[in-house]
Amino acid sequence: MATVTIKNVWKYYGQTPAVKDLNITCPDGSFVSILGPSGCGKSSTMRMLAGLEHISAGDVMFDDVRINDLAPKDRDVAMVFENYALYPHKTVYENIANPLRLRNASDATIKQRVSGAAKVLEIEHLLERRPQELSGGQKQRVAIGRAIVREPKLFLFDEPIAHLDAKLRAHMRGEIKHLQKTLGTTMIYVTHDQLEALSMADYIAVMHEGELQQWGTPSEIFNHPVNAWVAGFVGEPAMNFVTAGLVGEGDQVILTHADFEIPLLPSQVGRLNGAAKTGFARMGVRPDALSISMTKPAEPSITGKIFVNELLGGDMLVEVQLKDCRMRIKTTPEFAGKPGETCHLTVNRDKWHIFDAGDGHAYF
Amino acid sequence: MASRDVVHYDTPLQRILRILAAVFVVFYLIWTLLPFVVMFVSSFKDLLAAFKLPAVGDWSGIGVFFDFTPTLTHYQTLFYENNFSRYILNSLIAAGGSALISVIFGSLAAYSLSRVDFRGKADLFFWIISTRMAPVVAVMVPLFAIFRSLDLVGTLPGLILAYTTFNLPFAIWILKGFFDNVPYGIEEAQMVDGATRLQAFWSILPLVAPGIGAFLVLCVLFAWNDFLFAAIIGSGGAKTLPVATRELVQPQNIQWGAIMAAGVVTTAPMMLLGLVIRKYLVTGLTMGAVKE
Amino acid sequence: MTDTLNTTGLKRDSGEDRFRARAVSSEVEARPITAELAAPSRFNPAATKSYYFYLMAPAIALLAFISLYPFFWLIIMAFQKGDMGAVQWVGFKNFTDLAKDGRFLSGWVLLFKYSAMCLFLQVAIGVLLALIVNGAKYEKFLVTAFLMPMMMAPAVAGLLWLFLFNGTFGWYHWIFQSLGILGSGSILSSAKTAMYALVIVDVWQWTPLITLIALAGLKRVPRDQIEANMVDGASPLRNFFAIILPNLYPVLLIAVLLRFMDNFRFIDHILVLTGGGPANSTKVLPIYLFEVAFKFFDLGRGAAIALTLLIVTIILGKILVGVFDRPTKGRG
Repeated sequence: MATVTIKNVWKYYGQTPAVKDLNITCPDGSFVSILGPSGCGKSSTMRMLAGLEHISAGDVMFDDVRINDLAPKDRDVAMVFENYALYPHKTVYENIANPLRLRNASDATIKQRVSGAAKVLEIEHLLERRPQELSGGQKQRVAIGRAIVREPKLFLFDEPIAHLDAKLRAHMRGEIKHLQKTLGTTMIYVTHDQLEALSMADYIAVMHEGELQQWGTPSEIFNHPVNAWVAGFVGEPAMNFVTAGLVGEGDQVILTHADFEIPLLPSQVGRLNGAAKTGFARMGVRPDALSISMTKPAEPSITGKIFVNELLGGDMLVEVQLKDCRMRIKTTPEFAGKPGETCHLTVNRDKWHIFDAGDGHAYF
Repeated sequence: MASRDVVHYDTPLQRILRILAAVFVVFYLIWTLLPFVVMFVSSFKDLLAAFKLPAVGDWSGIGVFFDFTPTLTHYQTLFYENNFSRYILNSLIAAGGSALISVIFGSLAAYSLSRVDFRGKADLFFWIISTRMAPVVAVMVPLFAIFRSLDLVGTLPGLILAYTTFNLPFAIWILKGFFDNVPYGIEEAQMVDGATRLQAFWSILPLVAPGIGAFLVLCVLFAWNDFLFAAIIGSGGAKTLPVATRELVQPQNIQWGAIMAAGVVTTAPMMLLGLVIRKYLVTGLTMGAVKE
Repeated sequence: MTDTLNTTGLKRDSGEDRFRARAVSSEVEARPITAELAAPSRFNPAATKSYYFYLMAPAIALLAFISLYPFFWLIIMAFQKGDMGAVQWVGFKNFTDLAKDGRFLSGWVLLFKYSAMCLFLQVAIGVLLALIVNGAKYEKFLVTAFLMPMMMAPAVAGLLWLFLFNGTFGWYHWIFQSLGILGSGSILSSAKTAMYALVIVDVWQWTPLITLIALAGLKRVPRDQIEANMVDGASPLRNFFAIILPNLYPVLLIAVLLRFMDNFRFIDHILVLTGGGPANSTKVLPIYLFEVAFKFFDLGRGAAIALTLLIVTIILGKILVGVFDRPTKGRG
């Protein structure tokens, strides 16, 4: 159990930086997810924490101990690999027992710990099998078993459920979260799936091209993204982005576009800095923060033509064509509009965002 | 997949081991390459200089090795007095000829074995490969007798045929592996489009071409370096370079200078070939058992 | 919407296009993949096997001439005595003579002794080199340098080492002398040491093969497993024995078997360096066979010896092929 501090850490492969000046503090006992697309540096970060890659610059501390120069075996971490990395010539029992055997634990302790881990993961009936005979989900549990059989300072899970089918993934999300809460060990969980991160983590570190984009709770990341990239990456269906002009009219600032003119809320006007008041900006709004109707409403709205409807069981996703882009709206399955018809969208202005048209940082 | 090596955290002991390892490699490198250097340099030394050695134990006197005036007399001896240009030609023809025959017949057989399945296929395959593994000396006894009765001894065609003994099964064995890697689906697609089986086969040849090329080179390598077959079956009319080199050792007088020169002439082309097919060497020398 | 099926632009008339795999268009009627087209197999007897057999036939015929015919010739000849011209049937006499023949028996003993020494050294040095060189900075250059000895004709290598071992002007002899390992007599001149000379040459020439094979095996060790073991708590030494060695073992087995069989086959450098002497101390069985068959022309006896060699080779071959298949079976 430890607090993990990553201070100004850089990772170079030759001349190419994979991780740039990373600063994160993971509180003791928390579930932290490092989220980002492939190539964003999350795996490199995890491998540096495990000791499988050298740290090019910066410090990594477990509680107050600097661990940069420690070999993996001295760091007291446990890791679950993306491809499980089980030992093919050993039984499941021996696979799970491996960390304990390497530390010269007694047979009695091993038996007790391994059975305990197997029980929690419901793989007791597989203990005498070999990895070749197991399914993907079973292999993954064995890998997790190998990690929890010790009591390490830190768990490192590297996209462990990426190769399972969708249903099993959904099931394992809950299992892993529950497991971490029960054990109370600090967990760092790397994934590219934003749904996993949002549902499981206490804190999320969003990374892109080696840089930390945002650190926060899932709620903060989702509701208050710090830039357009984070906003677009997190959330499914993805946020809608429309480039529009900002026009100041007295006290008001109006977002203008070929298909709409919507004023900002007074509280929001203050958040724009002066220069942005009369320029362009990107407006971001999630599909569920929009409502759609076939008749023109009283308040300012967006006009567009229905492109396609998608029924998603309990919701309907409607894609609407504007002059220069399309927007998606989540509505009820009863919605009757058909492709080609004109419709009107109302924006919930408590839930919309304005991003800088240049570098994408969020005004609000 | 292990392209980047696993990271090391060096203890002082490991650092020492690392240095020792480097020393070991350097010594091994010297030990491996020294004979080549001696052969190459000695081929340009006149005999007196070639035999010069420092006093026993005098390590600093090693420079004596380089103390000579280069001369081309040995090479001249080879080509003018000993007819070596003829032997180079023989080696080329014998090696090239057998490589060509082996690869042509071999690729047809390899393709068929790759596509067809029948009872006894494994046994046939084992028989094919056993001909490659048989001790040369053992095979040569009957071969010599048979060829003698057919008047093939001492002729280049006879030698080419003899080399095919080990080159053909080798070709079949290795090329079958390459054909196995080409999915039959490609030929099926061709045939659906209207090609005949033969045309389909022709169309997948470009996919196997690199493998065929590499093994042509390997066949040449094995035949060129052979001594036994050339000595017994090629004796007389079909003398190749290794045999001719050996003959420079006469009971009364061993022509060391010429031997060194002949060694260079025989080995240098093969060293170049080795560089060319470096990638396929392991696969070739282990008869496909180990794929790099 | 235009006909998307035709986007590949079929031109049925152009000859070149016929052989490019392409989407089936609505114009051409697709030939269903019937049994006729599929590859012939035990499960598909309807297919035209004969076509493939015709393709194989020339190669098989050639091989049969070169290997089957001689094999039967050997069997017949082993029961006869004499040269081609004058042969007489002598039954099992050749074999019983061999059983009493000291040279025959010592030929086997020497062969195994020689092979064992060569193999031990080659594997020890070869694997050590592979471990050191794997992933090192100059790996490519080093490996290229190492494989040079394999490119030399064994007979030429023999001649070269004859020069290097020479008691008067040989450089390696000088090195041994200066290191105190040898006296003034060449290593080749004494019956006690000549075998070692042969081992040295064989090790010089073929250790690189073991190194190359071991390297190939090392590169295929799954990196994941090593890393998992590291995180679990293993030191590099532990890693070597627990993960690397079990993965390397099958590849090494193949290498050892192959080299063992090669020792039966290649006697070029022995012929050149010692010819079996001094005092028959290096007369391994293939050399003895060479002598019997091509110096004394006792073809009958030679055939008998050749047969024994062949039988052992076939047994070794079966083992090798058995091991071939093992590494490819299920590696979790």
